[in-house]
Amino acid sequence: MEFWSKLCLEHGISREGILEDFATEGGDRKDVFFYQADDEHYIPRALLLDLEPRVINNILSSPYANLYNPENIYLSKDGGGAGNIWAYGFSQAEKVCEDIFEMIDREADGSDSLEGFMLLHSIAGGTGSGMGSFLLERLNDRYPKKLIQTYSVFPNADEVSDVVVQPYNSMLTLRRLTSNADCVVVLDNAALNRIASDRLHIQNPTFAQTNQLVSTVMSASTTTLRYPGYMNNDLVGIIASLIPTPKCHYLMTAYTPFTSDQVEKAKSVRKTTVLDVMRRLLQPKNKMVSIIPSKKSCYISLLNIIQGEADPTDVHKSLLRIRERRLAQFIPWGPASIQVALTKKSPYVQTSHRVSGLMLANHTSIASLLKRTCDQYDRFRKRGAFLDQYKKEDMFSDSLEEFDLARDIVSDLMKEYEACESPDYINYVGSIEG
Amino acid sequence: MDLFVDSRMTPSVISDEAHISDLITKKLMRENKSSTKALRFATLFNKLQAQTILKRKWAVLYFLMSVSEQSNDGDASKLATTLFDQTFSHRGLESISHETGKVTETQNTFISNVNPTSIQETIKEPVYMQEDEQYYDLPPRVVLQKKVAEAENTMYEISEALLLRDIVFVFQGIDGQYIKFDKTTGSYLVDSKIGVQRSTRELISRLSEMGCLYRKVHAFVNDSIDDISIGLVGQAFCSALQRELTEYYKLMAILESQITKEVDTNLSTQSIPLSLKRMLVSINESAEKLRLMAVLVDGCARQKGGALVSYIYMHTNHGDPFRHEFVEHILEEVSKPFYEMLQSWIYEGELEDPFEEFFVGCDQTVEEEDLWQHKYFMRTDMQPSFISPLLAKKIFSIGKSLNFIRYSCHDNDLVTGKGKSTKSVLKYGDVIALEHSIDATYTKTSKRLLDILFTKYKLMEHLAALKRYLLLGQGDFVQYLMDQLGSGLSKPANTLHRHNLTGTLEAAIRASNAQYEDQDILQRLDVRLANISAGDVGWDVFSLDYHVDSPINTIFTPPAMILYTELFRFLWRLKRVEHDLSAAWRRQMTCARTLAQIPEMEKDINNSRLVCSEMIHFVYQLQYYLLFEVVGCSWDVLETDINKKSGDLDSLIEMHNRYLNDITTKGFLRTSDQDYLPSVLKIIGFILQYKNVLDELYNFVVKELMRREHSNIQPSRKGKSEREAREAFLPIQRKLGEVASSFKGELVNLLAELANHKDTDFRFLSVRLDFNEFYSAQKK
Repeated sequence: MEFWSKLCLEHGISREGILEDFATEGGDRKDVFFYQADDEHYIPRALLLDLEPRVINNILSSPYANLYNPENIYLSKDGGGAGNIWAYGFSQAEKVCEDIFEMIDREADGSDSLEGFMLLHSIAGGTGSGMGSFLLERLNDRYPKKLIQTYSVFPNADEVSDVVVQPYNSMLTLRRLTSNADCVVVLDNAALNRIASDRLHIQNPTFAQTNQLVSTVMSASTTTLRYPGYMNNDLVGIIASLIPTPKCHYLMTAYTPFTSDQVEKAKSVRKTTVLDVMRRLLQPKNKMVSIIPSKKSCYISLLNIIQGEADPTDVHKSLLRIRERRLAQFIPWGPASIQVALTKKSPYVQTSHRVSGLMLANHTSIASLLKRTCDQYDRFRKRGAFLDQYKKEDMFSDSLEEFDLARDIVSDLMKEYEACESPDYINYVGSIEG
Repeated sequence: MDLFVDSRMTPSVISDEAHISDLITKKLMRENKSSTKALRFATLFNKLQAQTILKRKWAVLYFLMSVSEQSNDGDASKLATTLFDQTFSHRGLESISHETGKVTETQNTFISNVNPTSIQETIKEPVYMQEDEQYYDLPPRVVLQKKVAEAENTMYEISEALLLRDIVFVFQGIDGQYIKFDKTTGSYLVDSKIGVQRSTRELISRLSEMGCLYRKVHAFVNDSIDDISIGLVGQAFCSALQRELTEYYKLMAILESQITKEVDTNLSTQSIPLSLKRMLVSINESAEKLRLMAVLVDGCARQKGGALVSYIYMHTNHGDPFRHEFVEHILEEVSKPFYEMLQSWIYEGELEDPFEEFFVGCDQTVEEEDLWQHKYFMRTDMQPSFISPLLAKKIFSIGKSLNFIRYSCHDNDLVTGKGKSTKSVLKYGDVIALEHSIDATYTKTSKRLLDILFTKYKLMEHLAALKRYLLLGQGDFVQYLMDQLGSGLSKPANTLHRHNLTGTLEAAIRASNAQYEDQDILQRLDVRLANISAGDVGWDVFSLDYHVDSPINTIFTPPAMILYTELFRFLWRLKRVEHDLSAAWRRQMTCARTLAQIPEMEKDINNSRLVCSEMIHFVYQLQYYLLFEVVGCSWDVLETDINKKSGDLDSLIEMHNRYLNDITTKGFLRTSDQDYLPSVLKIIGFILQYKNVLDELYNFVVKELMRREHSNIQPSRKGKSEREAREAFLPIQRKLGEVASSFKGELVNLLAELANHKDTDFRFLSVRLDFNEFYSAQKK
């Protein structure tokens, strides 16, 4: 929920949801993510859903407890949680479907021009993956014309997780992310930890610290919505140019520079120029996804959101430099370039650097992340390990077809990414229906 | 001087004036038996002795005495001639003429403009033209002298005192007894019947030049003084001349009194008597002045105001300090009215110029709206030459600014309140001081004007508002407007209703951050429908409008606003394309799942997505270019320029025009010799066509899905309907291919042209559009 506190800071909204006295400069659109309950109160357009009370109780005892609409918080009555099993999460969500959609419909009705939904979840545990998957499917049915964007946190594949079944959970969720979402912003814990330790010099970062990183990405990627400028003022405006074909909609992010504003004790980077920012955004160490690019890996599309005092001519020069040095490899089958969106910085948040940047990129090497998930899954699946819990649910009681279908869809997706690296992509025909 | 005294009487005569006078006195005493005549002679003799000019006094006396003796004997006049010849023999004459020449030469050294040709001509004539036999036996020189004497009638001499009296009349433009104005030559001449020595004639002609000059100047002053049309500067000129003439009259009075004194009294024994030569010296300075005045009078004919000042100023550039000073002095007088006008113009903004003499003019018929641009104008011919064009421009701008502040900005503080303390009186003289003064006033006035415009009239806010609304900077507002108006604008233009559109505009303001905008700015925002011609759809005629009134319409001139409208149309069109493509993209995304149910169309659909993404890429990159490279950069330049707060309103207008010009040139990809706008519009046209075909495609897909569902229920009709479906799909497929290739072809052409363009911004656009060298690779 660091995202909301960050938005509050940026929009000058207090912990109680009241507009601060100093927040008069305007230029921002608070109504994108908040609505006004009365003249003073701003309430996040957010639903907090969980099947177990721990995290939400933390929020409710935090200074931001009064920010949220209590009617928008859903806690499972049993309070047992999903036990880290996708199937539990999915089936429990099914049971409370009506309650949840009542909340969603209410919020949707309260929006003047609803463009889409944003889902923030983890794909490793039970609730985020299972309940998330369920919501994705239902939202698709219920709001067929609305876009769904997710911020999905992938597990740290390098470490042994406390959630042993995370490969299963991930695989099943990936299927929904591929078929039911329009845009998935991939964040992975491995990369977040790496950035925390390498860039910010924090060993063993806490959840709060990694969440802060995530919230930074989320707030940066929504600046063009919140500070309307010439372009990219709506969700389509941001992702239409990033996602040429429906399936390849996994975006990776990079952010620079991280400073103490985002995370405590961070090493600050001060004299940043636009070129510095744009160059660093292309460096793997600043990417928030652990990927292993191959020689053929390339950018399908790339959008840099530059915040702060950026001079258009600097952008211009930086683009030429990057092109000259061929710092970025692009697809061979269509025009692609580094798009740049210049946005304002919140006047209420003091930062030590002039410009900061977020990269949203559609890169074929995301397939390597999928591949790792598949490999882990395959190892488990081959041994038939830990499947008992899943078989307890109706979905899996008869067969494990659901698993195989998910695996096929993900392989298909990987194949399409691979195809994207060749000029023949224009003749590519996908094989499996999602 | 005594050389010539060798007449036949020589032995009995002693050449001594005192002796002769003694003889004469005795004679007078003897003949008249009373002392009255003798006394009178004594007085006259004293006077004669006092005369410095006459040297051969003894000879004169002797001659007179001889004449008186002879006259007693008989025919006096006849005898006088012979006596004269005897007394002044040939040799004597020669020596006289010799002496005269010497005098002339010495005078030459101080009077510059002597005209010796006239003498020479008179000399030549008798030598070559006349063949007179009687002179054959004489040497040529003597003949020449004789002839000259005959022609010029130098044989007689009237007293210099008479000539002096005459010449003083002449000085005042009045004919004297002997010296008269000759109309044919336009100069004063000694009556030819009167015998005067050549040298004297020469002197008189030189002196009488003054008369001519005086006549000229006096006539000018007399003619002009009551003539209103010569204007204030002309009047000042006349009065300056008048003043100089008064000085001249004083001199005349002095000369006159001196002459009268000498004639009337015989007291001048000690002082040197007045002579023509002395006169020439004593009037030298006045003559110089008169000459200059005459030159000024000659040249100034029909000139007035600033031109006259310029003309006189031109004459101050003379190396002779005397001339320089004199003209400068006159100029100071003459320029007074000019400086008064200048002062009231730069301090009060008033034009007090009934005769159009100032270099700023005012067109009273011009409305206040156009005050800055058209009400005032420069009369360059009235611009004094000591005021540089730059300074003149500043002066022009100061007064204009004052008027603009007063009448357009309705602010009287500067004119009435503040002016007094800093006003410095301006007059001719120190040009540098004038420049300083003008500069200071210019800076102050311009700053004040800009301050008023930027604070009271919120100029910057208007500029920003135009950028936000007419140049689509306010994204959320534009988005809403597009969402609401989009479909309506595709209908024929005559179905659009203004009130509906303004209603939508209001809604868009309320729905976006525009609602927080200053009310003043929002009230200016309006919808505009251009004149509808047959076949127009809403897109062709719709634009946003921003009302500007006085005084800001001086910057936002009608041509500037037309440019804004044109820019809006173009950007709005692009936005529409983006909007359409977004809709297409959304449809293909949300339909992705259902589409996959028709695998045989997968390839076409995938292809259409890629074409669509190419188009999105084009439109996005073009918009990035326009909004950041073009509008953004130009705006930055404008903002920095404005923040310097230097210059006047003109430079501000200039900045704004340059800003708009930059945007239109780079934005429309239009240079003086090349215009890529049609190509861009063509591409845009293809995109819109493609979007329509895409709609057809997806409508077909929806129908096809329904058909398949249907045919599953009724398998009997399956074959026929499948054939029909295939046939229905073919034209769509064909159109998709056609439009896509037209789009690509035009784009590749445009890129090739842009890549080779001399303008770096154009080249950069091609880099942006073909960042990964996809198109250039394809061309190969």
